[in-house]
Amino acid sequence: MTKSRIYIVISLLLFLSVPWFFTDPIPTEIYGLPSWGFYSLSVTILFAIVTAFLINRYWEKLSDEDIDE
Amino acid sequence: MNNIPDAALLTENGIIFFCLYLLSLLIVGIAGRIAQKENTLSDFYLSGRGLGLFVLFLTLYATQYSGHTLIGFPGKAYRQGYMFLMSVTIMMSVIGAYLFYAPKLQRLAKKYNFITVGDYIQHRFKSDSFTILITISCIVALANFILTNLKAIGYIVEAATGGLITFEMGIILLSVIIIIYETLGGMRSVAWTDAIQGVLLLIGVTAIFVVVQVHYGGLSSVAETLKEARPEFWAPPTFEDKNLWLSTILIFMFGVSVYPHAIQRIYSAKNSKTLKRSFQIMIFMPLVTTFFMFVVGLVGAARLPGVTRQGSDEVALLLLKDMANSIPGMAILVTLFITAATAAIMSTVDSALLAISSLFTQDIYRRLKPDSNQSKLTGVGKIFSWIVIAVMSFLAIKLPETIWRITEIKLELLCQVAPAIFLGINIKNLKTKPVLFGFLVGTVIAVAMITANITLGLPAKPLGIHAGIWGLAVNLTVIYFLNKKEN
Repeated sequence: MTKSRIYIVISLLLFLSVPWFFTDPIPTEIYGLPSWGFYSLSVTILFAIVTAFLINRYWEKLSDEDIDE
Repeated sequence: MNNIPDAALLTENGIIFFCLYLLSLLIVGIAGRIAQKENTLSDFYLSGRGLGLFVLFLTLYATQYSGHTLIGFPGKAYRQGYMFLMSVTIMMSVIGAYLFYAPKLQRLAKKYNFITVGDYIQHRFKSDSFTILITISCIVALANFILTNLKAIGYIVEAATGGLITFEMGIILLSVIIIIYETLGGMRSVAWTDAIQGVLLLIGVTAIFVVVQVHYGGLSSVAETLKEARPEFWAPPTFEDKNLWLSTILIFMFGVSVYPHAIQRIYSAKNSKTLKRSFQIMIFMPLVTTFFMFVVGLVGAARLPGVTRQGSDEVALLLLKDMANSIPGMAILVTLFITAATAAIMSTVDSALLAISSLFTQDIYRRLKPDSNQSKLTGVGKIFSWIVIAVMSFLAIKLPETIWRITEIKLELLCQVAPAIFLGINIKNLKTKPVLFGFLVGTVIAVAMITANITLGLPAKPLGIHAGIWGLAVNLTVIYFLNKKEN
């Protein structure tokens, strides 16, 4: 994965953590949260898992170890 | 100890525990002094770049989460309801932001012996004036952090002792303790005390969350009450609310991630593996810190309705007091909560103070006196720390309420520093002039918008977007067009 794609994945997940598409004035309840809150929390947890993976897999690439300056 | 006022939140044993905690900080400060290897800036401000995983993680944790997490966050959840779930995302976004620059910055810091954020700016942009401007902006933002946190310390100590120790005395007493352990061992003492403070914070947050869950029930049990009592909590956010949500994520992502004291910790890591592992743990910490405090605030909204806006910031304490009527031994949890809140605040103040001292010494004083040796520079840094804490304590006690709103300008300023770091690390052909002008224009816009809000009553967040983000948008636009022209 290129650096740009890593940045896009992180930015996209953060953008999607906002419940943009929820408009129902009486949302259903999921595990004690309104559906839009449950959605946001789920995307946030996904963000944490993906970021932890990216840190583990691509840290060296992101540090530009092969580029001398 | 028989004259403890009835209004005191702490019992006699609680006050003893609190004093022991403060004493432990001084002992750790002395230990930091004994462990000092050499009298150099790198050893004093970066602990000789030798922080291992355990201490690095806890110092990052204690620094990122201030007393606001324990006091402000439940209050905000009490007032905003489910929308404050954003608090979990915003704290995670900070770690996501580090991925944009920390891996490379840490490598460069080791190679070129960076001490401060100004060292990187100088290395990358080769401009004294830009480095000094960034340094001044960081110092102002950090001074604001210290001021607001010192004031919070004063209130907590006064409430904890029922006025036995006054607001003013509380500020002075804790400031003296902070400055003593910091002067003794620099980053080593600060990081070690942060480790104690981080553990206390984690235990305090977890304990109050578990007890609240057991006593009042969790999210499911408060959901029905809130549907009836606060239907606005259940309704999805409006378009402006969603903008505010995204704007808050952005201002934390770009503002908090470039805290000079956080960058100092990136430089202090023993190696890249240590830093990498710390971030991998840190990314999950909002789930056991901010989410827990969000639930506490929401339970407060369901079980203790009608609390005023100011009172809602004490909702966690109000729940503890409410439980004390039916559960014996609750005084222990109150003690833990107050100690954890104080620990969280102290760890933020000591880190910000150390960062200010290093910024002044390395980026300003060293330029004025280039012949100074390492020992002299370390001494100057220590003296400057004492001056800063004395001035900040005085201002925290004496500053008129009207001026206090100015101290809210922190993240708005730091946001304007972010492009120099994020873009500087990632874009090779980025020139100095565009970043300098972008920074200046962005800062002027953000400060002007906040000043207009305070003095003229204009909207603080037009379309739900923070002044700092408006400034950042213009900042980036200026950089884009000027850099295109330069190339």
